[in-house]
Amino acid sequence: MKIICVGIIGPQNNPLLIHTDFSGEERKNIEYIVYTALDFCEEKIPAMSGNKKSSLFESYLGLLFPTEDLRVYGYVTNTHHKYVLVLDDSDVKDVDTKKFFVQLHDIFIQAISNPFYNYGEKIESLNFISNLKSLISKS
Amino acid sequence: MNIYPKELLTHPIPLVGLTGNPETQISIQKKFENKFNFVSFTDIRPHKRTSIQELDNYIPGGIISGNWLIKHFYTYPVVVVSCHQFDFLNTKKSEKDILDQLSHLNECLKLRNFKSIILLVLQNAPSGFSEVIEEKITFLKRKGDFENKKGTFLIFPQNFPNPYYSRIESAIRNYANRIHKEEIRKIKKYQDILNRKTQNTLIARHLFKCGFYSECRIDFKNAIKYYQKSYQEVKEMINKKEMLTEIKTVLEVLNIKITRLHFVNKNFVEGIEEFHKHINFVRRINSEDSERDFESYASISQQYLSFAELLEENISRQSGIQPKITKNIGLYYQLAAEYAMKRQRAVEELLVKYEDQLSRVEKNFHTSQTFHMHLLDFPKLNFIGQPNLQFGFLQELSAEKNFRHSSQILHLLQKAYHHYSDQENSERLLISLQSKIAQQHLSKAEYDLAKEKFIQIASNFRKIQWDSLLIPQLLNLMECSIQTADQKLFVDTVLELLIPEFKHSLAQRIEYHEKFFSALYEPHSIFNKTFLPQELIFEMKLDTPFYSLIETRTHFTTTKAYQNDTLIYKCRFISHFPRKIICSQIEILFNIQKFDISLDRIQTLTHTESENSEIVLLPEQPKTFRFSFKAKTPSIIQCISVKLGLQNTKLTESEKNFVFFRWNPFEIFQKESFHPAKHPSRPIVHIQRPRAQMEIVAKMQTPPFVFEYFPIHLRLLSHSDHIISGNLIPKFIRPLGKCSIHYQSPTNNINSTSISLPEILPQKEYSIVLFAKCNKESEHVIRVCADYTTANLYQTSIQSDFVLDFQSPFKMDLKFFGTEIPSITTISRLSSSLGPVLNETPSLIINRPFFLDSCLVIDTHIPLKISNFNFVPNSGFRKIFGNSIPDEIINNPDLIQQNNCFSNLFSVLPSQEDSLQIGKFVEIGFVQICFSRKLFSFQKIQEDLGQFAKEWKEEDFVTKLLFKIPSAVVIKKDVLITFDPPQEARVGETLQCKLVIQNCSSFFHFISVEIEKNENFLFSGVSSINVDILPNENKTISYNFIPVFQGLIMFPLIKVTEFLENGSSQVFPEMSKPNYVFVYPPLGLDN
Repeated sequence: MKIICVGIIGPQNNPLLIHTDFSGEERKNIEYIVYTALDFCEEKIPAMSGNKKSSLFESYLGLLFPTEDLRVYGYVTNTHHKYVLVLDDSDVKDVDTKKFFVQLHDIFIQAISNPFYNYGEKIESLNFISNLKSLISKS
Repeated sequence: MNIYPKELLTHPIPLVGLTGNPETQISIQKKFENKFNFVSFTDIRPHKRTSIQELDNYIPGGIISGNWLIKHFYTYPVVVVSCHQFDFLNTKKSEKDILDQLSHLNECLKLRNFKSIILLVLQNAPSGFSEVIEEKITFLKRKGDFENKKGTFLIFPQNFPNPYYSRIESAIRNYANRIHKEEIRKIKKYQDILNRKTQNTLIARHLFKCGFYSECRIDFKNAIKYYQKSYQEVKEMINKKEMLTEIKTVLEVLNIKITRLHFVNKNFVEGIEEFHKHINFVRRINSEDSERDFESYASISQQYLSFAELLEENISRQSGIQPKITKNIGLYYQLAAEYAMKRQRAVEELLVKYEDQLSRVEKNFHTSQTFHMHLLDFPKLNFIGQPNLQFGFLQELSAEKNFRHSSQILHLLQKAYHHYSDQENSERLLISLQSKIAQQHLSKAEYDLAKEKFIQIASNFRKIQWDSLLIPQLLNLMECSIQTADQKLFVDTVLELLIPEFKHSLAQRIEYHEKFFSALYEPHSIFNKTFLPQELIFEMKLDTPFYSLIETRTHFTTTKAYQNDTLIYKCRFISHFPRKIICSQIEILFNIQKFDISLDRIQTLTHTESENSEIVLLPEQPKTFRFSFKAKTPSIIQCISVKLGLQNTKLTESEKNFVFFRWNPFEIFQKESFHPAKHPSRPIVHIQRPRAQMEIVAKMQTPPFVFEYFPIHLRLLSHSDHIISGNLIPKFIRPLGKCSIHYQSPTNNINSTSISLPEILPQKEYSIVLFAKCNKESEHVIRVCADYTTANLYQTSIQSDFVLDFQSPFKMDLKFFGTEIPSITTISRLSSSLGPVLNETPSLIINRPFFLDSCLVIDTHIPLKISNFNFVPNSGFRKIFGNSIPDEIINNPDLIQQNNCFSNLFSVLPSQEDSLQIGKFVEIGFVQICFSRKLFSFQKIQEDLGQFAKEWKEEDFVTKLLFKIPSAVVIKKDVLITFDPPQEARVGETLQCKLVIQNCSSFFHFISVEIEKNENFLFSGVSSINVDILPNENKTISYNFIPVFQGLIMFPLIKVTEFLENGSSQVFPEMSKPNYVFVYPPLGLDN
């Protein structure tokens, strides 16, 4: 799968990290896609928590929406952090995206466990970004 | 979808020829208007039958035959209905008519394949003679050689009632279906012999025809099948680059047909899938030349739009369809908009690249073909074909340049927004769309609309701290604020952009700083209204009672232009009238006076566009109006007037005109001759008209004080024979400090450099009050200029000057008591709450020393806050802190230097006198300590120190400023006595009181303290004592009092007497005042 963008959004829907190789106008468009994906996350979260009765809360939100040539997947943590993954329109198995999100969750937990990180602020840890890059290159 | 010829996309229906009785023809045509197309059948041209041999190796010029479509839509009917009246009273004539018609039909039938329906309406038919009628028809058929396979006879009674129409419809439908079926069969026969490799154009055409016929037969299932096959054939031809445009267009057409038929069959999912497959294929088709990408984008955008419209049209008919994301029409409008934006960007890049080439050849393009315009040639060419462009790529680019991209994008985005707004959980999607809409408003120069939207969007991103999306909104907002001259918004936006959380690069940060300072502080900045030609307030000259109820603002986006450039002129009307006002006429007049241009010349300025001819002004809602025009000759527009005609039935005819005037010099240069260096400034021409005169008479309070607003009463007397209106511009001449003039109208306050005057009737006067303020003590000249316009557009100006001597509003007196010691103390840097007061004035030099316990008295006319005193030391002074002189300061000159100023804030109210006891509250400057027994007594000296003059030189101009040097009061108190008795006590409990005697002078004092007897207290301590106090010494005497009685009781009086050197004595009056103490009962007896 070709990853276009990874977005980590805080519980207040504030962006903690938007990682993409694009810049300028294209980056702006992709950020708008990540921003719009929050609509679909919010639509799916109550439905899922309702079905599974909160204790079996399923983090993986699946395909949020396809755009013309991109596919957007979502994941939500117990602390209501949302991960948004933007892929190109090639066929991708749900297992792969789910695995990616779980690994992302792990490195995210490591990053916020850093005593120098102020909870709720933007993630600027170089270590986290290099971990993320290696995760992207593996997938 | 209106870019496609309707023959390509309309759902085809059988064409029916009508002949014979006109009345019957009309009634049939009306009845079946929507079911069949009708054509008047007169004659028919021979049909060239295609033989199979002819099709061998035949390759047509294009895929879809235009002639063939036109023929089936308009020319050759598949069924001919011949209407006749059969009159039984005149059977011979009727028979003859019918037989003639039958023979004509027979002739035509030899040439083309169609079916005939002979419609006989019986007249005067005998009842019960149906056998006779049967016989007649058999006779007519035999006589006219009319076989059953050629058609049928339909017989109707005289009154021709409604139920008979269904018979006609079923007959027509039946025959049409039969003919179309035959045609399909024939085409299928040809298919077998065609070469699939070389003749795929012909195969695609035949399949299209089969689809067309099936559509006519309302056999949509087969129609879809044929169109899909045709689509596949065309798709396989995609490698033929020479006909790429044609192939893409035919694919578009076929896809629309297939999708539409799916929707008609209520197969929405299939329809949408079909479109997705098609658009994915089209998107992958790359044109050879990357510079022609804008064509592809235009095409894809158009297809998304077509599909969205198709879906909208069909979904609106079908209720209960849930709009999921792939089915939401908004998505397709959004995608159409995105491709339109890509197209716009591609074109903008190309226009920059080819600007020079385009300007050289553009004049040769007499007609410009916009996207898909070549389809209009479709019937003429007989196929869709490639666009024929004589000048090639540049001609297309020229057409794209003139295309209104922003309007189209805005339309698409607004449609998308409208559709998404019905969807739940689409808040962020709507915001992202709104941001794009605002961007388009900005590029269309609709700054107010854009600003409103950007503020809303920015607040949203600001809330969630999404900085990377917030910054573009702020940048756009900055642009909007500049364009709308909204200074507050500009400052707020730039300051927000400069906050450190936004991690801009250094270059960006410098750019924002530069923009900020240039916009605010440059003399020609848009925010400096004195130099702001773009943002001008209209004057009004009105004949109606609403004259003060409509404001107009207007601006040119530039003040210079070339001839033949399109100039945009904006008016913004705001109505303060509490009801709706409808202005039915709007007219723009230009007046050119610089070159005395005649009316003929004026007409060369052509008004080319008026977007709306009616303005509805709602109360307090601004309405922007936009005009564009071109100047054909170099000229200067000095006055543009906008005339509004008011549509209000309650007004009389004479009251219907509103006329707005504006003095707005605007230069238009010849393109070839203009060089900016030759025109460094805009010339302004004043034309004196002797008949239009105005006097300005002013009356004001003198002398005004600085910092205070003072009224200037102006009276404008008109000696004109016309109604005049104009601008009043009051200003300071030779301003040395900050000066401002406010205008107060009866209804509101306006702070403006230019004041719009209402109309002044002939020989009448108009009074106005201006409020001016200056913060510089000096002699100033206020100049009031009035530029005014008479009803016949003559403009002139007059001016009047007033000399004003602004005086300081406050007076400071330095009074002192004490010895006269020659020394110098300097006070400088006085500032007030109104701004820096004296920082440009000379230092205040007081040739008297400050003494300990000195008092500085300041008398002022304005609220004054003194924040900083600075005492400059010299060798003769030392600094004293409070009442004691720390040795380390006295002995250390460096510390004296460091502590040479004190800070204290105190304020003085106007017309009040306040004093600052310097020695008591603050660290004072430098005084010389003197010991002298000669001046032992209390003495008061007051002195005015006169004036100080200073001159400024600015270029060749010298200004002399007179400044009154304040005098100061210095009060020296030699002995201070402090006695602070308690306020409350209890019976039987001891009160401890202390009397402190303080010698603040440098002399020896002899003091006697005596306490009066008092029965209310038991007293312990010395009742009478004489004290010698050395200079700067304190003595404390303690007393114990025990209250005996309860209640409010008087404290014993203490008499303090100072014995002077000459033997006399002086009583301290402050100690003779009685003090009271409230004594509670002993504990336990409170209740």
